[in-house]
Amino acid sequence: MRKSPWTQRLLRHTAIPALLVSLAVPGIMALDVFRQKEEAVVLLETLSGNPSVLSDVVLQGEIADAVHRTSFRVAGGQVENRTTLLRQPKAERAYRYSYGGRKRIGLGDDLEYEVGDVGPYRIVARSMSAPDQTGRSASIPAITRPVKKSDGSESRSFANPLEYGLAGDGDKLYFVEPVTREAGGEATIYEIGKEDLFGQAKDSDGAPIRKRVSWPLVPASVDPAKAVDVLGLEVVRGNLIVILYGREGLTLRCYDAGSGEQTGTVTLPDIRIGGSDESEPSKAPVTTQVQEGYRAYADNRANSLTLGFPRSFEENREGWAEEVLSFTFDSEFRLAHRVTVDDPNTRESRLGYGDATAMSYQNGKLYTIRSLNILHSADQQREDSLALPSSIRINVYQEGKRLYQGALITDLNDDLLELPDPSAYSGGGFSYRVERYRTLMNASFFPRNEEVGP
Amino acid sequence: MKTFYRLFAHEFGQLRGITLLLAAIAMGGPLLLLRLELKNQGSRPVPRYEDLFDASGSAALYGSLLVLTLLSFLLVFYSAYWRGKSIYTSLTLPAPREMLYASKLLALLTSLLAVYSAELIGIRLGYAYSLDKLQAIGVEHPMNNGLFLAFLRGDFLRFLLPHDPTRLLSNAAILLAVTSGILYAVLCERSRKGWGALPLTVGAITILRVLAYRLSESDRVWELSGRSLLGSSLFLLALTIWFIWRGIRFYQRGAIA
Repeated sequence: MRKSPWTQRLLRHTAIPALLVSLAVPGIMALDVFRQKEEAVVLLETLSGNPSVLSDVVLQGEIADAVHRTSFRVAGGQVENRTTLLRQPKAERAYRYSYGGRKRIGLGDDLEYEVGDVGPYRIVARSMSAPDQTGRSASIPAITRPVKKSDGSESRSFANPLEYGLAGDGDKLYFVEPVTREAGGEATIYEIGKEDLFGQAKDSDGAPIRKRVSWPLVPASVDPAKAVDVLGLEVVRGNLIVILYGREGLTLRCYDAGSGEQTGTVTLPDIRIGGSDESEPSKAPVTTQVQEGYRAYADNRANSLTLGFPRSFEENREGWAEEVLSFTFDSEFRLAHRVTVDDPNTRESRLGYGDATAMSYQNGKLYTIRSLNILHSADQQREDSLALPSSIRINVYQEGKRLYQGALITDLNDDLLELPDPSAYSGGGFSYRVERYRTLMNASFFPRNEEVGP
Repeated sequence: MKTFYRLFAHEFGQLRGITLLLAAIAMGGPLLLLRLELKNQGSRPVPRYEDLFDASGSAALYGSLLVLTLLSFLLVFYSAYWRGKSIYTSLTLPAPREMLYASKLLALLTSLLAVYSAELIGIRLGYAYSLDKLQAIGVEHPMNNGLFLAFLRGDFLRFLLPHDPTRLLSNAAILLAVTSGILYAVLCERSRKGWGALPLTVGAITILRVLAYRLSESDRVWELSGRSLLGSSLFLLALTIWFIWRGIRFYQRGAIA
């Protein structure tokens, strides 16, 4: 085919336009595609109550996977969000305390802690961004006496994983052995400087430890009425709170970290922990059965401590229920709020490594955010599945009653779209990959006037 | 300048037809492949575009198209020797020899960029098509921001259109090193300079290693420190300068006849 002279002349000048167009297209595509990062959806839907109860606090958190994260901020009725892209896929190591696992203290801290050995103990700190950087404390003597068994051997038994005895506050760590009521001797809270953990000479024994508080332990074999399990230790603004459980119920003792003086005690006689020795019935007329593996939310800004005790499964109840206790330190150490958080037909979302739960007691109200799976009848058969759509619920409680419930609507469940038909999905074959599934991470409530940027 | 413009127009003119064909395949190919893949997946398709795109074979097609662009350049280059012996004419043209070199280099670069741009357009068209198709099948609520997420989450798509400056630099370095390296390779072959294989091998190994890393980034999410790829990019850019400098020398000596 012969081309006309005109076409030929035109074709002679295609090189430069071709180059310019080829340079422009990728630029336009990039602008068009990455502009869509502003189109992430984060909305607050009110399910019940008046959203104005949220106006005293700022809720912050992230919806993140390994390639991008959408930080959101709920303040004064407004929901803002901002998306940032990661340079390359990288798993987010968000805060979550898993029962028996390494402990992270506070949001945004790069360190995670482990209690090594079983008496004498050693606190080991590890940087999450550089795992070859580890720090350790000096050996912490086991002051409690081991229990003699009938065959003559000695052993220690613990009321909770050892990491429950470890708590942190700014630049200091505290540790107490979480022993059961069989132990005798003297329980002691040790203090370790966080800075001292690192930078110790190779041949040194580790970061120095200091005794802060001690009290005698009465073994159950001597006096079962006075024996207690040490469930754990928490710290809020220099207040050391030891969580104990004995015949009298749940007891929290508060010590001043500086002076070591006991500043208060709260006893909850009706709280019963399943599986403990209950040879003598409780004095309380009505009891609340819980499990010992509590979750603690120490809020240094609001100066409060919130403990969530999972309700015992012995009651054979459906759904997720927790006994949530909030304590304040303003004038004295006291139980400020107590509520049974009970959501029938729900389950805590199990997808992801982020902590889906945050609780904070402030302004006389308890604020909670949790990522839940709503279990419909069709889901019951696949209850063990990880891959259920989650609903992010925000609840506000006051005087033991729910004032407000809202749901945070996000794009997060879009990642589960490949499983569109619950009845066709048997529950097997799903594998969680952090770069494919977004989860709620790093959620927290701040007092309105003390907020920090996302 | 006018001389260069004409030389460039001439060199690109030789590549134009094949470039157009490859670009057309890049834009239309995924539509066909996605159609077959969606049909194959039946009533419960994977709604993630990056998965669909890989599974349909479009990613493989796109890699092949870029290789075909390079092959067609080689074909055009050698035809100047085998068929018309036009290489002798071109070396006697009243134009600086480095312009002859630069026009060839820019023509190849333009051809590669054109096929690459067509691929990006093809991805876009493929997304619109599969969204339509998914809705027709009954996926009522497709993934919000699906194309954006696909470019973030899909290793191949993220490689084609990176959002991070270090990855952009890496792309540019690979493109320039490949373009100048191919030209350097044929010039070495023409002037019987066997040692040219050494820098070419080093360059090829570097590029393959960078590609292997970047196309498996999502399997490396638990690696503690990501790589900036700055070192490899700078090395490839340095290699590019070497290729261009030596290439111009070949032309100036007329050693390529």
